Amino acid sequence: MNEQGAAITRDAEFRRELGLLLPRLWRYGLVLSRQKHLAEDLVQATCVRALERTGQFAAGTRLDRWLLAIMHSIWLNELRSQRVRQGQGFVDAEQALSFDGESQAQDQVLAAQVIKRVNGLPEAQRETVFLAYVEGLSYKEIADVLHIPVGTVMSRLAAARAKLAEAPPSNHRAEKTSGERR
Amino acid sequence: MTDLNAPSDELLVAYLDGELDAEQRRFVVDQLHAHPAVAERLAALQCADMPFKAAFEGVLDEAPTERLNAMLKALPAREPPALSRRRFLAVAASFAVAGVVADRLFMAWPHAESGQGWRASVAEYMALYTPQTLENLSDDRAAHVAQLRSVGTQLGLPLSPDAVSLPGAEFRRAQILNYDGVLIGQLTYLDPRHGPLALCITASQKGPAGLATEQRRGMNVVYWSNASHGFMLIGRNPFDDLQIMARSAEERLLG
Repeated sequence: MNEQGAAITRDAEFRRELGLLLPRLWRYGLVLSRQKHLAEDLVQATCVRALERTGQFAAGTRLDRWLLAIMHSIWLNELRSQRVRQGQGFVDAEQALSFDGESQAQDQVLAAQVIKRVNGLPEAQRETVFLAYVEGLSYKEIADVLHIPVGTVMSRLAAARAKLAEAPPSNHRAEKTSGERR
Repeated sequence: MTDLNAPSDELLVAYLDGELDAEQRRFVVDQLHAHPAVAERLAALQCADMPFKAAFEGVLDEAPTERLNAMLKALPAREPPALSRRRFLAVAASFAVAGVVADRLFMAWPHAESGQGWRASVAEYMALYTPQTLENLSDDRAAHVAQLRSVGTQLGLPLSPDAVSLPGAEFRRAQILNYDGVLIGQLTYLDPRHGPLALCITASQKGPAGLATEQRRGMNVVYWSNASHGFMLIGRNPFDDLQIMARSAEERLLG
């Protein structure tokens, strides 16, 4: 196979791997931006950048970690500064829950509450909690993705846990507060 | 905790997360045995253990997987460097648009409630759209119906493909933009002759007003309002063209 043929094969392979990770990338985009249309923009930007930098991806390392790091840097450097705050992404996620069957409903109520609590954390804590406890990254891996020292990962998680351990605000009150924000 | 030697929250959390080396772990365990206050603090931090993974599992199902896959498929292949530079620049530029689009809208938004501000904001980001911006969007009617229903519900205005069809332009996407609590429905179209155009809708109590025209950012704008909503149509089409489209939309949206 000539060089160009090999490059095309590599590209196809890379795209296939990338395709499998799209929903997880979107979810991280949603955790970062809290807005669905921004999450989608973030995925696209991440794919564009990943495809143009396939050469920089070190074979044998994890593609998902590499992509999370790319998305984080795009968010930090290009999108976040733009006053993206009270998005409605997860509000939608909550509204989309259906309540058929009792046990299923209870699971979903719990899921919605967990998401709400995580979503209520400051951004730095929120994404660190997400990477540690949802994506299952080690402290070292989180430090690499976010470009911060391991010590910072530790203090973010400690602060987040301290906050999450406090009694949750009752649903009713939480909704009222957010409804009044304007 | 008053004991200066007591392990920090950081250390306790790292202990819970299994991130300590043998020596640190031994230190924490010793402290736990020696000081009930440390054990209490650990228990408190452990209360923050929630089924995070399971909770966020459901979010994956909400990902617009089909659209994301189509987007990926549409991204150009990598080519040998000599050939690819042009292509690469085009892609980079097309993303710059997406980033800047969000950017402009956020920056401009605080003025949105002062009357014409929302049209200025919409114009700022529409000016950045190119036909390529809309190329990857699905032309699946079922998807359009669903998008329009969702946008319509949020704006309190029933929308359907028929109600929003514009003569001479193809409907591409409806989405809600939500900035600081102000909802704007953005319906994007592609006109094969003049490029992207958008019909934007926001709830407005200002009362009915007939068609008016203005120019913003080198684009032509026709705007009007009824009792409950404000509308604007913006594109590079000549005014005559836009006015015909606007009248058609005005009529159809009345139902």
